[in-house]
Amino acid sequence: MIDLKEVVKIYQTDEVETFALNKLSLKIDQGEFTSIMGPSGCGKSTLLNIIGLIDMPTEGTYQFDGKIVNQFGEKQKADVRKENIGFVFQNFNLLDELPVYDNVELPLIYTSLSAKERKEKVLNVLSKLDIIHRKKHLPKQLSGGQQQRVAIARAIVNHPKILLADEPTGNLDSENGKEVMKILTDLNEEGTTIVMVTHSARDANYGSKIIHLFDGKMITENILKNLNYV
Amino acid sequence: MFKNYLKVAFTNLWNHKVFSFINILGLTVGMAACFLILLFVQDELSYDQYHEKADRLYRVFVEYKNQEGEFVGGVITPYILGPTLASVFEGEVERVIRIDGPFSYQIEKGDKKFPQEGLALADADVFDAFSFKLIAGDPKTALVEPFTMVIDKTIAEKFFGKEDPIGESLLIEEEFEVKITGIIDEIPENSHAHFHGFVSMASGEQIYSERVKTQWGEGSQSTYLVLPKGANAEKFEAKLPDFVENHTFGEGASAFVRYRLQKVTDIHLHSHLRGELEANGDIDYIYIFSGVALVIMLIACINYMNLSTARSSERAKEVGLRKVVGAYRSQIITQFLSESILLTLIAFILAILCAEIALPVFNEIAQKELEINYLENFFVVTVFLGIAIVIGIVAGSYPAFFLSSFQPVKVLKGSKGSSGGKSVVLRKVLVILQFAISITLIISTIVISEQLNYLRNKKLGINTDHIVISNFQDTTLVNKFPVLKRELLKNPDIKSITATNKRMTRNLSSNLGYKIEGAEPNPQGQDNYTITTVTSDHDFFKTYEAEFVMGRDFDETIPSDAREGFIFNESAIKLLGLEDPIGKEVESATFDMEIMDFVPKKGKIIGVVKDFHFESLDYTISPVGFHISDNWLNWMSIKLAGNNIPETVQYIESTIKSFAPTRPFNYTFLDEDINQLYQGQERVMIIFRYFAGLAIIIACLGIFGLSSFTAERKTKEIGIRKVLGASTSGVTILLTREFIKLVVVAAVIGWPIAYYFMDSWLTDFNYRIDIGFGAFILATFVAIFIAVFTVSSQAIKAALTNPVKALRYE
Ligand SMILES: Nc1ncnc2c1ncn2[C@@H]1O[C@H](COP(=O)(O)OP(=O)(O)OP(=O)(O)O)[C@@H](O)[C@H]1O
Ligand SMILES: [Mg+2]
Repeated sequence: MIDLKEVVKIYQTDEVETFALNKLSLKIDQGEFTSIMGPSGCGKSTLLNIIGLIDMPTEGTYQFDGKIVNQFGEKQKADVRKENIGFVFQNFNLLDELPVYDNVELPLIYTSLSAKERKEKVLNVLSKLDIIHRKKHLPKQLSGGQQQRVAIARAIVNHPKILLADEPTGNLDSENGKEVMKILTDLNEEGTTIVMVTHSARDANYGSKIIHLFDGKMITENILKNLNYV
Repeated sequence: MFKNYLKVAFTNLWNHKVFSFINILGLTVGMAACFLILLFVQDELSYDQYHEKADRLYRVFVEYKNQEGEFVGGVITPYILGPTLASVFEGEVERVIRIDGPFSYQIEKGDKKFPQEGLALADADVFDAFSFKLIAGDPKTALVEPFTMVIDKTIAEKFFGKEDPIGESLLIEEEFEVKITGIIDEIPENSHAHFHGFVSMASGEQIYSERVKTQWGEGSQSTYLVLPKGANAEKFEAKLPDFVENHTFGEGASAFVRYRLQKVTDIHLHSHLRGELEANGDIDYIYIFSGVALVIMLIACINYMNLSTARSSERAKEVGLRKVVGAYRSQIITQFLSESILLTLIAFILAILCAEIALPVFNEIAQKELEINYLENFFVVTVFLGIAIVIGIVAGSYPAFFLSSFQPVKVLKGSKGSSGGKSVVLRKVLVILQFAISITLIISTIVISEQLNYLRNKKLGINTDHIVISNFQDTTLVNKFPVLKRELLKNPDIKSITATNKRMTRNLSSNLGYKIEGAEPNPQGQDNYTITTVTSDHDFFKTYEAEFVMGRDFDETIPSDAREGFIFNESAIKLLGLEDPIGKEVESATFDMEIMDFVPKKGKIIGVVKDFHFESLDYTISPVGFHISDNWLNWMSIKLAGNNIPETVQYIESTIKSFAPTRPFNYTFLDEDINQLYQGQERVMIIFRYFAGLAIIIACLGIFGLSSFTAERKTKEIGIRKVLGASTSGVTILLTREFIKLVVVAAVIGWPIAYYFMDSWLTDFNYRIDIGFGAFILATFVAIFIAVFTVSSQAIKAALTNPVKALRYE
């Protein structure tokens, strides 16, 4: 369902051009759990953002669900995101001012669901992730693990086909991290496609496929061994 | 979805109380000020609009060419102008109405006897032209017969209580009995003249002298026309020069006399002729106030924009997230707009409340009876509401477009989103704009006060202290004046007494022809001049302490002075071009009240008096000739020594009463009279000062909010600086300096703008100050002081923060 062909992403700053992605091709099928690894600055987040349609490749084509999305306008991209994609971030990115319930409800606001349907969905996902008793709390009143669960709840409340997670355990201790990984595997088992960026080899192993990036390129296991990286 | 927008908007307002408070307060005050100004302006614009025929109702005014060759306009037209226009332009005018007044007459009915202001003689068609509401009587016939009168409700109640006045009679001036044929409602406040009663012009036809009724130089009527539907007033006016040639003063007269038309609805705001029935408003002030209202709103809107964009870093994450989960940019814009509209709606409700509370005070200052009439005046309320929403959109649109443009990739990176280079620059520009406006307002306030003070303190050229003015009211007292004068002067607290035909500070109107030996030919090449004439007894110049530049004052010991003494002011001598005026022969005329006609008067110039202001300072000093008359006298001026004033006034009253027992004693102090002349301007000044103050306060609220954000954002920088050894004062200065720079730039912009506006405002004055540099410097320092005062509290707070805490906080 995701098909990147020779994707290049160049960041142009004052003097330097950074090749965040360099002719990267990648296919991800429905139901897969893909882990992305690589050193800092190799382009992992960039790749995830492009997959999630919040950033656009400089060159190359990106097909999502059979449609080439390079030329999509803001509105079309927003529609694709709304219907198909959930995001989880390393730093949770919850809205500090809104209680848990409202944070989770956020993606539903922009759908045509009725208030009743929204409520049902939010309460469902909150109980599924076991934070329903915290629904009135503000994010700062929660632990890191709880916050990340809220973030995941928000990402999956609209049942996206794909969940994109950028170092979801990066800010958590191992106990909380494990819990988050369990949630992700459960979701994957229920059919959600997952793409996860991580620095932890242990977490990466939850995935059915591991991709290694280096300087904006995907590299094979062999080269990896030569680089002495893994 | 909209419900959610509202909820988010409320949450946001609630969570950022300082932000919301500053914005709501600013918008509330701004809107309340706007409402009041809007009410004021609406009222000013509504003058005389209520007449059904308002769109074709005109006043005829006259313009005379003065000796300087300028046309000077006046309201007073001859008695015969009306009928002559009606017959010459038969079919081209629908109605011609003469109104003679307002006068103050004594009215009595049985034992009730009061002086009554606002009475006038009017032609029978007056109720056809003007939509004054008749409560009783037939508008068509009420004023047809001689000695009929229509009175207003107040007079009716005063004399007849609950009884029906129709058919009853009143005695006017102890002489004329009039029959009440109608009752009108009070004439609406928004009228250019407020009459309380009309006596039929047919009565005038019987009372007025033949002279008044037939001469083109006579009469004291205001003449109004109703043109037929669809008639073109300009075309009609174009025919008037021919009319002047053929029907009035004769051939060639149109070079000196012009009759012109003005819409009655234009009188209140646009007409400043001599002899206006009442002090009019001024369209300039409407522009000024509307401008101030706009400016106040602009400043409040800028506050909102500045504070919203200053907060943008806080909200960047939110925008990014909303976009990530699939929100369209349009939806985010809508959300921000709902926030600003919600804010302005809250402010709108509070503003209405504030306006209601402030309205009595405002009415007091503006001398109006304005009210917000929600049901009857649905239009105004809708306009208010519309304005509130428009303000919400205007103020909210910039933050909405700015914030909604954030890219999620950029703002969600984990680091706080930048507050944006462009928006910082724009914020500075907006703060500069606010301060430029504030400085312009401060300078204007200073210059306007200076000008009005100047006018008030400008020496009239005579001493007006402790002078009591009273009207003779009839010839009996005039004839007894010499005896009365002697009697009054027995009181040691009365220094001097004089009588004149004209009242000091009121318009001079008696222009008589003069032929003077040795005078240069006038601009038309003839040897006669028209000069304003003032008659008095011997003591006029002594009482008013006027200065002589040549010759001498009237002298009672020289009998010929009363017969043939003429004194001129400097302006007259200049006009005449006389090198050596004393002793020159004068041929002119005087008015004899006994025979009610002008009689020739010949004599010699005995003195030249230094120019002084007889009329108000709104007019330049005109050439005046003075001579003595023993009966062309209407006003007494009694100069008091200045101690025991109440007792002295009492003494004057009882003395006059002993001469004329039935006369009510009316008097005013000249000083108070003069103050009253400037009261209109004074009021405008006070209103202007209040609103300028409000504008400045709102601007300060804005920079207060902005500086607290700056201080907050710079907490870390301050922490580092303090760790590195910066002092609290050093840090305070650092934070304050930025704003001072902005104020200085604003001053540079505000100065020329203020100069331009004030200079054009001052051109309307005959006597004006020069705009001094002081006002500009003062205004700038005031602005800097206000800015520093506002900002430094925040800066000091930030500077006092423990650096360790500040650094940890980041
Ligand atoms: N907005 C940007 N402007 C300029 N350069 C950028 C921008 N975003 C990313 N880069 C550069 O692109 C490269 C890839 O960045 P990216 O964030 O994808 O790395 P990453 O693999 O996610 O690293 P990390 O593990 O530290 O999160 C880096 O060299 C980074 O400096
Ligand atoms: Mg990254």
